[in-house]
Amino acid sequence: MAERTLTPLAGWRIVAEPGAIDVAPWPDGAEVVRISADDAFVIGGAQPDLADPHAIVTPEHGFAGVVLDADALSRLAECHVEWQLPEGRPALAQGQIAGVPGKLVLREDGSALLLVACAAAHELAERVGLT
Amino acid sequence: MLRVTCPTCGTRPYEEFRYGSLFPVTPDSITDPDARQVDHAWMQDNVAGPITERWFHEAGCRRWFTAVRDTRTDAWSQPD
Repeated sequence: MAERTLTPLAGWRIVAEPGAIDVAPWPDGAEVVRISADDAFVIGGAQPDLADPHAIVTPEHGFAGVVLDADALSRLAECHVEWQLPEGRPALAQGQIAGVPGKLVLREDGSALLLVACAAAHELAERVGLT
Repeated sequence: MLRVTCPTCGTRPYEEFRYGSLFPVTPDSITDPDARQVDHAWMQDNVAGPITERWFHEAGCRRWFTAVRDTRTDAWSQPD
């Protein structure tokens, strides 16, 4: 995986009623990472507009990410993940990766977006062999 | 290894979590407000069996959740 680099991502962080996130019209080209029922990270696109009047929608610059192909994902899971990845796709898997809190956005094509907090990106890159 | 089941993320190693506390349940038989607070804060039952606890999934969804753990077997179940 030496050719891959964790790159800071720009997006929107949303905390809102779960029902409002469920039915939100996401901007074209955005990728939605549902961190929990009431929390989502929307990568790219314009500012989302939610039906919940109390929703918190704020710019998020705290994550770095890298796209892994199926082989790289398989190697990462085998060597650095102590828990079982979900079988279904698409899916979000969250937990420690090489001892660093991270997220894997598992896509239908077999690839995955590895997300990590920018503050821990250097540590994760060093541990798993990213540049 | 103790493994904890997060309702959002699934089963993960214990190291990903922060233990909150025993979920405090004060018996109805204690009616005095001060006595209830003392019981709430200080009286631990040390049960051998299922207990209700609060956990925080620090390395995952970063959410608090309530779970039931059998202290004899570390088997997990969902609270009623």
